[in-house]
Amino acid sequence: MKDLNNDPLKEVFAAYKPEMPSSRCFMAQLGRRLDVAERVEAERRLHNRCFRRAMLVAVGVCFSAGGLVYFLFAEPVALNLVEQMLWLVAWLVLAAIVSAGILSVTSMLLDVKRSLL
Amino acid sequence: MTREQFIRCIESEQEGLRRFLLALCCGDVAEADDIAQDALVKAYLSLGNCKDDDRFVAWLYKIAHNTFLDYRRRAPNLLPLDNAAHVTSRDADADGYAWLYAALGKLSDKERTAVLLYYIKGYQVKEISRIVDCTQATVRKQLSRAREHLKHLIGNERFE
Repeated sequence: MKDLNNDPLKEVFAAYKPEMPSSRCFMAQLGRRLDVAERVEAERRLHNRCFRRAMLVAVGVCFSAGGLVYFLFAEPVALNLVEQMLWLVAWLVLAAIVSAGILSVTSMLLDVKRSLL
Repeated sequence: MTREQFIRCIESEQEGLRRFLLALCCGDVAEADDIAQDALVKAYLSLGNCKDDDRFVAWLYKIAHNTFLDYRRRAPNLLPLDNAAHVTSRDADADGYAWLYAALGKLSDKERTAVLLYYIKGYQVKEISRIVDCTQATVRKQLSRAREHLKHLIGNERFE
């Protein structure tokens, strides 16, 4: 990188002024692509919002329903701590599986709705 | 930054950016404009990531360079040399830069980027290193190698 003042490449690139296709066409095309990108982005945000809401509802419903079932059908027998923990773990796993099921159905419905629009 | 402000900035920068990409694509106008469009849409969608307004243009060039690399990865068979050779007979001759594109096409992508950012955009090594995500020493080495290659490829008669 020595002697850049006498760098012959500077002249070569200073003279580099190729004719570009119309700037107006380029900007018009960019405008159209930005419109599409904005629409897709808005759609994606809406989809994410719906999915987050569905996730909250699914988790809430599953845990409430699971808790209710647990208290309704639990036999009134004295369980030791380990058994109580096992019940709790089984209930959590079941709730998570049902939540995942509800979420995948919701996601599928959202995808179908999006493809129909 | 609103869309109107973005468009206003782009209107003043697009020609320089497209020229840089045209040289990077060794004279392939269609590919250069495709990359420019993609890069500008990406930039618009990630405007929130541009923290420093003073470096907005350098940030645009960084996105354009990354988009160019994505295109190259998607079409790995399109070697710079082949590209320059097929462009020679098509777009470049109209402008009379076929010799330059053919020489640029023989440089590696990294050398070409460094030399174009240095000579066309006028960026210093520090800024180039930020754009291409390399150390300053690496950029200096690439520039030095590219200059030697270009001098050899273009021929001394053009410099005298």
